Amino acid sequence: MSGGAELGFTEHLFKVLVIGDHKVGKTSFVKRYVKNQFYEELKTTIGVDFSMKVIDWDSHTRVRLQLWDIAGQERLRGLNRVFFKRSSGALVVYDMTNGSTLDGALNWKHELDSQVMLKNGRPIPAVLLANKCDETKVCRRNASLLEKLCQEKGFIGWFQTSAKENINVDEAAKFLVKHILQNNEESVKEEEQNMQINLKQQSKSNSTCC
Amino acid sequence: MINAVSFRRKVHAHGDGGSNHTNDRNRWAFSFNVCDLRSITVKCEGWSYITFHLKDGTALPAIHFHQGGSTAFLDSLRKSVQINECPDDESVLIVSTYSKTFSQSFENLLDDTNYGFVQKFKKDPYTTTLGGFSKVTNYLFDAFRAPELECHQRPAEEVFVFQLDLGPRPEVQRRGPVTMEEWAKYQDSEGRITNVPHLKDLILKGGLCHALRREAWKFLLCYFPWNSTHEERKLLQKRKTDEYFRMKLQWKSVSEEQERRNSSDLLSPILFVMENEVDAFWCFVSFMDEVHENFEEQMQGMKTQLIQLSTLLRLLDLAFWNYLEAQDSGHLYFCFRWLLIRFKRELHFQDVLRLWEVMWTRLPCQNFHLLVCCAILDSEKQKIMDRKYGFNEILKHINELSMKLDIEEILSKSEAICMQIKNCKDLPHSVSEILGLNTVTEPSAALETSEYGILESPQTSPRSTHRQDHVVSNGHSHLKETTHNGCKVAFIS
Repeated sequence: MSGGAELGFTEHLFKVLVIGDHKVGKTSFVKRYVKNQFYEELKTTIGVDFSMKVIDWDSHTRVRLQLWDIAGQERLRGLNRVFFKRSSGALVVYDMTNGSTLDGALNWKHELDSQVMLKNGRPIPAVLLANKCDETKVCRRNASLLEKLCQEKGFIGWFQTSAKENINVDEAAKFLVKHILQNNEESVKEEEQNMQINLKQQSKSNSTCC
Repeated sequence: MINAVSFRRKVHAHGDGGSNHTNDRNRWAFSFNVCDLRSITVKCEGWSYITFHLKDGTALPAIHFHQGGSTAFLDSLRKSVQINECPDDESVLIVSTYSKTFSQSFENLLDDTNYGFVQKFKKDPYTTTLGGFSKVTNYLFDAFRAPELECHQRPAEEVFVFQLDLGPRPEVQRRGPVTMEEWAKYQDSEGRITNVPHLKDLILKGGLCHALRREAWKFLLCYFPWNSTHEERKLLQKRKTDEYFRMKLQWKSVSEEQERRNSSDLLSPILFVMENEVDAFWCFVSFMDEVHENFEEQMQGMKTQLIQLSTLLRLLDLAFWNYLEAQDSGHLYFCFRWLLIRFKRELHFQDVLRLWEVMWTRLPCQNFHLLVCCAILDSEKQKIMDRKYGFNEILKHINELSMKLDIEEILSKSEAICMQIKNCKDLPHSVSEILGLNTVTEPSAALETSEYGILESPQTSPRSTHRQDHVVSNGHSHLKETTHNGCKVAFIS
C-alpha cells in the first residue's frame, strides 16, 4: 500500500476502519477528524461512508488515510463484514454514556480479527475509543478496567475522546497511524528477507539441478 | 459416486428425458469422475480453454472461458485433486487424486467455494437453457448438434459461459412532466380518474409537475382509489384522519421510535410533498408496504434484491459481472444503500421525487428499480473495468456517485433496458419472474425453477404476488390490510 520512494519521499495509502455500535459517534468522530467540524444532527450511516485524511507525517513521509466509516446497526452487521477486507488499522468506538456499546465494541474487535490480519498473522492495529467523554468522566477504576481490556482483547491502546469538544481525536488517530507505519516497515523488511531466502533456495536448487 | 460437471444429473432426477429441451442439453453436457482424470491441458488464445484427458485416453470437449474464470475453476478443482505442472510441457497439468476425496463429488466441491466458477454455471439458467443457447453463434450450436459428437473426439469449438444476445437497446425519449391541465383532462365530472393506464404511462415518461404531486401521489400510493369521486375521497380522508389520531395516541409512549420516524429517509420526501401529517402517513404506509422487507431483522428483502439484481446484471452484461466477481464484488453490496432506501441518498431531493413517482406507477415492469441499478452500473462499468478497480475502489467509486447522477438519463436508460429485455424471446425464466413479464408458466420453465432452486427460491416471491394484490386492491380494503404492516414498520428509519 505504499507509493514510490523517489528522492526519499514516501507516500502511503492506508485503509482504516471506523467501527462500533449504532449511534456511538463514529461519523461524528470522522467529521471532526477530517473537517474539524461537529454536527448535532447526522444521518444514520448506511453501508459505508468514505473520507480521506492526508497527513504530512514527517519531511519525507505522507500518509493518506482512507477512512471507512461503517454503519453500526446490528441488522447490517453481517453484511458489513465484507468491508473489512484489506484494511491496515481500525478505530473501534464505543459510547461512554452507554455501557452496552463497550460490549459491542469488543464484538466488533472480535469480528475484525476473524476477518483481517497482518501478513505475519498478527491482528491489525486497533485503537479503542471511549467516545462522548464530554458527557461523563472515566474514573480511575474504569481506566484500569479499560487498560486490562485492551491487553486481553489485543487493542494497541485506548483513548477517551470527544468529537463534540475535539478531545483526543487527532491524538488517537496519530497513535494508530504510528503503529500502522511500524507494521508497514516491518512487513517490508520481512518481504525483503523472504525474497533473499527464496533467491538462496533457488540458486541452491539450480546448482543441484546442474 | 458420480461426479458431474454438468447439471444433467438433476434432470435425470426429475425423471425427465422426453422434452427436446433436455435432450439438447444432454448432447453437450458431459460428466466424469475426477478420479478418472489423468491430465488437464490449459491453453490461451486471447481467452483460456481447458481440455480434460481421462485415464482411459478420452479427451473431453474443451471448455472455453471467454469471460475469464479458468483460474478460479482450476483452484476449485485443486481442492479435490492434486494438480502439478508437467515438467516437459507447462500447458499440461498432471492430476493425482487424493484418496480422501475419492468420494467427493463435484457438487460438494462447489458448495464450499461460494463463488466457484462451476457453481455460477450451475446457477446460471439462461446460459444453460436451450433458448439462450440457440442464440450463440451458429457454428457452435451445430457443433453440439453434430451426431458424431462423442467423447473420443474433440469438437470444433464450444462455449462454457456466454452472453445471451439481447439485441439492440432501443432509444427512449423522455417527455416533460404531467401538467395540471393534462391531469385535469383525465378526470370525469365527479372526480374519477379515467384511462389510468395511459395516465400512468405519461408519468412513467416524464413524472409529475411539482404542483400536482400532492394530489397525484395519493393515487399512486393507493391512498385514494383511482375510481373514487371527489365526494368519496373527502369521506375517506376524514375517516383516515380519525384513525390516524387514534393510533397516534397509542404511539405517544414510544418516543424513541418517534424520533426514528422523524429522521426517516423514506418519509421525508412524502412529508415534504403532502404538507400534511395525516396524508403523509397514509401514503407512507403504502410505500412501506412495498419496502418494509428491506428493514427486517434478517434482511431477507435486501438479500433477495441483491440476488435478483445479480441475475439481471448477468443477463445484461456477463463480462462485467464476471469482472465484479473476480474482484470479490459479485455480491453487489456496493448497491446496498441504493436498494435499502431507494436511491434516497444518491439523488438530489427533487430527483428523488421524480424517481419515486415513476416507480410508483409500477411501469414499465415489476421491480423497475433493479433496472435503475443496472442502468447506473451500465454507465459506470467502462470506468470500473478500464481503471481496473478492485474491491475497495469499486465500493468507493459507487459510493461517491451520490449526488452526481442525472435522473432523466438514468430513467431513459432504465426504460430502454426494460424494452430490450422484453424484446428478447429467449428470456430466462428467472428474469421474467423478477420483472413480472410472464403470467403463464411454461412446463420447461417450471423444470428450470426446481432445477436451479438455489437461485430461484428467494425471488419467486410471495413478494411479487403481494405486489399484484397491491395493484388490484381498491383503496379501502387495501388500506385495512396494510395498516398493520404500516404501523409496525413506520418507525424504522
